Amino acid sequence: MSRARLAVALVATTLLSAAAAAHVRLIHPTNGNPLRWSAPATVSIVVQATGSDDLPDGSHLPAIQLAIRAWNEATGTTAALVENTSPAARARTDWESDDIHLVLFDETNASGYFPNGSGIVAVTPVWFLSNGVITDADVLFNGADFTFTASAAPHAFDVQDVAAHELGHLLGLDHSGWAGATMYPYVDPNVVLHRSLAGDDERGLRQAYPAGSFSTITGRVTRASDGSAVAGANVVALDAAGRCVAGALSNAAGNYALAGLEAGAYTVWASPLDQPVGAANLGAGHTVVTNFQSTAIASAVVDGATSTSVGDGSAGVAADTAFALGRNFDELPLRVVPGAPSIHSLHGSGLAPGSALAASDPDFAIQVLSWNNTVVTFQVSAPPGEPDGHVDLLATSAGGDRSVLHAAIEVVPPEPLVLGSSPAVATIAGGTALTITGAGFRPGARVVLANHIYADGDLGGCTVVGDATITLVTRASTSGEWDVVVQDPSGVEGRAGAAFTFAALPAIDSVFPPAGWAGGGTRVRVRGADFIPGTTVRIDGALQGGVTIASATLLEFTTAAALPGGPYVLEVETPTGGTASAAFAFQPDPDPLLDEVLPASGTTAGGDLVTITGANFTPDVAVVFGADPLTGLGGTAAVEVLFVDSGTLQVVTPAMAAGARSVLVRLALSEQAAVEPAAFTFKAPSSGGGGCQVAPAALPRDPFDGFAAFLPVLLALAALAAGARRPAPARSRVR
Amino acid sequence: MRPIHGAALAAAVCAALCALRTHEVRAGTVLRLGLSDLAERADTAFEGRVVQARVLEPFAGRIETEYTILEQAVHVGGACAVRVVRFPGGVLPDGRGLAIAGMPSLAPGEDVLLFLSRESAQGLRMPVGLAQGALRVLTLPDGAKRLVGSSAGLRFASAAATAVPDGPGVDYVAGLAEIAAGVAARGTEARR
Repeated sequence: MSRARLAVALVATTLLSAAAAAHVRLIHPTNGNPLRWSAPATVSIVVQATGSDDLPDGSHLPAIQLAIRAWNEATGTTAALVENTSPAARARTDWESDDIHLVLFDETNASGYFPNGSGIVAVTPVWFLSNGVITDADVLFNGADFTFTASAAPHAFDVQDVAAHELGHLLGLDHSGWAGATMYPYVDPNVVLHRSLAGDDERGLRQAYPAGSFSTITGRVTRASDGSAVAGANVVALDAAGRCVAGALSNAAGNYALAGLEAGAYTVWASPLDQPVGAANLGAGHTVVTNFQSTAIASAVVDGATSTSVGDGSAGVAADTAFALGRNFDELPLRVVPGAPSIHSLHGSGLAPGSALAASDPDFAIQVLSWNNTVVTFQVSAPPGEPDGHVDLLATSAGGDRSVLHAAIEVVPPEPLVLGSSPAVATIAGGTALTITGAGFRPGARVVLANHIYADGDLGGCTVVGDATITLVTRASTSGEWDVVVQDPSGVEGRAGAAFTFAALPAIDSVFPPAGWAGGGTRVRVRGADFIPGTTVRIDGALQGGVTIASATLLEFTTAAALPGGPYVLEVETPTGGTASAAFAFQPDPDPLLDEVLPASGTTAGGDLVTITGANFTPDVAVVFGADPLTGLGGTAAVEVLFVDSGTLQVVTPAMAAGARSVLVRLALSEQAAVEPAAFTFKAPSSGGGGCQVAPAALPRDPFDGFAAFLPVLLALAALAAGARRPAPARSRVR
Repeated sequence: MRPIHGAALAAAVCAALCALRTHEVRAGTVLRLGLSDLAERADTAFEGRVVQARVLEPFAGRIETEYTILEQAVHVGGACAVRVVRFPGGVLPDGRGLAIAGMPSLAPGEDVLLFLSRESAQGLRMPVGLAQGALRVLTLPDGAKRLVGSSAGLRFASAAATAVPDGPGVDYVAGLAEIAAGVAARGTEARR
């Protein structure tokens, strides 16, 4: 390290001497209090509905939701981002309000933070109190100047990657010294490897918002030369397999705490935080000294529940060296796919022939192709089956100096291959069982389809049946062609472009009434599915009027005049061309009409006499109480029906449960019908406890008038009583 | 690791950074911009001495720091003897604060070279590239000047470009040449 940088480090030390505990946290700029949420388990977050004008299909939504999900899947922490999906909240844009934490795209520089040419891609303003409690935080994307993508469009920033990083700040985390961490302070367009959290990110949350029991390794970074403390060392714990597990920044006294560790054996390294991530990448107040070289300083075995102190460790850090691996303009992390050797280059200094390069995981083979003092080019090979994670690169000079680039390698699987789905078309109503075929599907995969996320193992999510098969049941979705995206938990994804279509595929379950007067004017209700605005109805090719889409499952229309006959084809057609058909007949006589039901109530025991007035009744009329007004189905037929004349029916009510019921009048032969919802109320009889049962107002007060009016009914009832189990034809005779 | 520089330079950098005591908090994702890029993008670019900094809360949800700067030289835009610019963010006397990712903080007494965007409707002028657009002008004991950049709190969105380095910075005269190139490029763009 240069003396200049040493000076910088010393200055930084003067700024704040407060302890920098495990991981790097955002801190209050003036008093050093870590910034944190006071109720971390319920950090509300709202994805603003408008989204990015680069993504008119709304695909910003699942991208940001997946970023939220990445943080929420961290274990050992109470922190959780709770998405508020209410339309009212999503419609808001007042990100400065404390009561809403928005993720939004500022397309017009309404925030004032993104003037033309600012070069700012995204920011996360964080409001805080003196004690460090965060009162508000929001993520703003500069939609005015930059292009964003959720589908790997070239030269555009990946929404999910950027959102995952910014959400880390929203939660109170600062930058990480790990090249593979989500909180790594460099990103290029189209980079997606920061979508998934690294161990350092997860331990950062564990340290900030702990939950459960874990082990902590505490110790102190000292110099081998004189035993003095080293502040701001980038301390990293590697597990027995050589994988990066946890990180910490030593404090001004050299102390560190590697928290959130599961049971196991760990090796602790200390490295200077200089390149590619340096002190300047952190916020103010952190003490960082870098005049030493990477050194394995301790090892420990922990039980996963208690803390272990390694003190000053087995070795102090070695003296500074000009030998260095990694620069901030290197494209990091290096992606390595098990079973697929890959070639990479890293910059640095002193990278001369005679040096050696190795991975911290001994399963990895590193073959150096060239040393060029400032650049080393090498091939990395990892055997098939290697688990995901991060691996250090350790460079050793011919003179024995070391430089470790922590978490430089990110082990990820190949992108899933998505061949397509069966079926490839489904109704917008949802409920279609899909099978997605391809390769490289792993447990925990998420399918993104029409801006819905189907995560493996979630209720209503998807099921990874095997490497080549995922199944799911669709949710109600927006019509159109959609990519079928399978995203691996590591963040890499496969995509079959425009491979799936959600369409309005109308279906007809019922038509009521199924027949109407040829003179037209019959109001017809069609029950089914996928009725969308713009849907038309034709009968025998003739367009019908008054179409109302009450819902996706109910359509109403009014018949136009037609020639009597049928059944004709009734066809429903959506604007997207989907059709469904049923039958409808036109009758020469007018439809029955219902005017009044008197009395309008009776007992649940039934047996009440009721007069129905209207028009166009015929002797074959049937009366049903409680039928579904939309379909004419269900209900209970009247015990008896007396056709008085074409405008009057007298019926005996059936026994029914209490409540207001429809009254349906149906002409049996023509199938024409009329229904009146809630036209008759069945009431439970009085308990007799002093209550007063009022006689129906429509009943005649003069018993003799009543006798005259109801004489035919009484005769019919007498006949019924005389002949128990009277066959149906007798009823016809009454009529 | 970088080459070793003189002790005087280190001391000057040290002194400058001591004065900064930045309030910026982390992680705006920004493009990495060199001096010519900054000059090309800025609505105004000038050098001056910061004489006052005060934190304001013009209304709920906005905390801003207002800087008064005595202008010494102009590189882009018109001249103005006394500049008053406001950046979002800062810490109020009661400890409440607003951290805007990577927003630079200027300290009274320091000489700065600022590349600022057009003033927004809110009266703010954002430093181009956030902290990258606010450089310190250091005068070394031998009278030579250097421009010192900052990447504090920034997440860089492009690994390809070259930013003004932190720490020792760049030679002032060479830096001005880069700025001039950026200004010339602006003219070229305008003519197109």
